[in-house]
Amino acid sequence: MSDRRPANMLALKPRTHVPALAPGVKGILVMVDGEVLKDSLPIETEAMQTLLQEVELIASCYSEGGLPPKTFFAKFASSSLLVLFARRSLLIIWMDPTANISEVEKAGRKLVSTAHLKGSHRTETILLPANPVTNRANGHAIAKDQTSSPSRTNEYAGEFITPSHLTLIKIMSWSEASSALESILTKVLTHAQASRMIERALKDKGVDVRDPFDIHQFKAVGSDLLLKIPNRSIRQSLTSEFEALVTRLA
Amino acid sequence: MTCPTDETVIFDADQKASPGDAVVECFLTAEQFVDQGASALAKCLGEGELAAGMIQGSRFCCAMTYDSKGFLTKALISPEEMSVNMALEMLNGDSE
Repeated sequence: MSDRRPANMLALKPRTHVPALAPGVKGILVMVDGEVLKDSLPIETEAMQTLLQEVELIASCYSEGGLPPKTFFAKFASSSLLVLFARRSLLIIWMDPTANISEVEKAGRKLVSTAHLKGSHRTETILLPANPVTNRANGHAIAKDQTSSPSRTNEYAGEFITPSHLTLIKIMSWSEASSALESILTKVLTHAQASRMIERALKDKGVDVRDPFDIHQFKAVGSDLLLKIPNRSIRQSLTSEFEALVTRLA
Repeated sequence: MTCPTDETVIFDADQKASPGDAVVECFLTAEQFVDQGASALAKCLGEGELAAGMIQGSRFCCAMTYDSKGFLTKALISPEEMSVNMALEMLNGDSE
């Protein structure tokens, strides 16, 4: 079967299957740097392309002040669409009315903030809510637990899942951590400014980027830098994003 | 978009004039933006009328709800960052 996607439009990869989704989530799409990493939206390819074009149009129209939107949400009669934006990534989540929007948004925000770091495997974190929750359907708790048995069953979808689906991806180097922090700071600074500030802060804390990554030092460096943002509202916004990142990595 | 108010403002559709012209004008711009975006997305998903919408940027949040006939019921403008759930709860819980 021929692929009818226009070659010059978006760097679309073959649609990939996401094995299990949180309750009420019909499908997700993750895009990083214009490339679709994961797509499980249950719509035709052409509709998906149009959807992406419209989402990009929303982002570009909104970004007039230099800052992109963070969230776009639309609730329709029988479903809701949540679009989360980060500097390099965007995440589209299509939900039915049974979805817990709060939990899905939390998990989605963490995902979109770090989707660029390691590639598509990160998208699997959307499979479960960000925090341990109780599955209301059967009353069983599903916890974020790195010591879970490999034979645990995904109670949302009834599919077998491995422990990797239940753990959060860890940044293993200072270089990657710096990139993550830089992507947050570049919402208010240029790349060069953010990079210089991080370098200085790491130096001030005595961190050698060749050292093993330390989450506590990372948190201290990031917190110090964010305190320098004069605007309270922006500072709070970026601090929340940074705290979500730290939580994800801790 | 820039928030014209330094605090969260919630108002009913029939009280559009009360929060101040700047707020109303900003809301109408944001509403048009959300409505046009949502309508385009709805076509891709095979969906219909917008029941609620929200746009969140840095220092700006606008959310709105509509009735079953598509008429605006409640609106919110805020300089704060809000989750979707929070915005919808504020709209649904502050009707008076």
